[in-house]
Amino acid sequence: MDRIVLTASEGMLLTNGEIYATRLELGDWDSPDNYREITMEEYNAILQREEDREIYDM
Amino acid sequence: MTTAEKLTKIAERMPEVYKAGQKSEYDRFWDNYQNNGGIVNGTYMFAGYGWNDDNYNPKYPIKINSCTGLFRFCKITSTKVEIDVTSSSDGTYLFHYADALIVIPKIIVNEGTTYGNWFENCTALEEIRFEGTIGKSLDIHWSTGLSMLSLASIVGALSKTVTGQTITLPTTARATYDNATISGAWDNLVSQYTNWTFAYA
Repeated sequence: MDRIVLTASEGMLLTNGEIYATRLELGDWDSPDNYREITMEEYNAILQREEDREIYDM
Repeated sequence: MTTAEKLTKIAERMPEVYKAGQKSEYDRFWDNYQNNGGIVNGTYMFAGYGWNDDNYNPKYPIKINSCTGLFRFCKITSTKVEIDVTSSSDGTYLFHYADALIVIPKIIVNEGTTYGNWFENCTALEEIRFEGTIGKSLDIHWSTGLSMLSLASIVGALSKTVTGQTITLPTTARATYDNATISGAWDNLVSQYTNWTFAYA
């Protein structure tokens, strides 16, 4: 069976809240419903929050 | 033998004595730091900018029961020896921001090993070889220069039975692999692991 392939629109990323990618080849357990597109601005804001948390963890 | 001859003889042996002292000091430090090659707590063991190729010279393979931050922020270019994390129950930030690291010759994992932020910002990494089975999600997309053999090692280590896991690779992976082999080889390789979601970032 062929994999379901998802490709992010230009300037966007696909995410399920944990993974951020421009292209996804879904495993046989996975579903497109698990993913949504976000903008790079949203992604950068998430990264900043992550970095703040990592510095706090150190 | 005259005194002059004795002094000459001693002087001749100075480099040899110096080397023996160096070896003794090397053994003293690494035997102690690596528990004579036994399992040690690896938490932040080689972390920080102060670890570099000049002072990182492990005597033994690295066997650890905790791997959090093992090489975090270090400046070494190769881990040089095999790293066995199969006894480690935690697993975050292992190579986090080790941005000079180019080679990881062997890392031994098992299906329970977790990879929380292990490779974040490992932008120089080219060579890595896994031994054992990868059974949890792993993100190595920062390493855009991974070789074909490294990619083959990563994918080849993926469990064929787990579900719900994702491998995140650099967008360069397919081209690197196909260019070093034949067109379509990457698709053929990953088609054997339909139980994994492949993400490219």
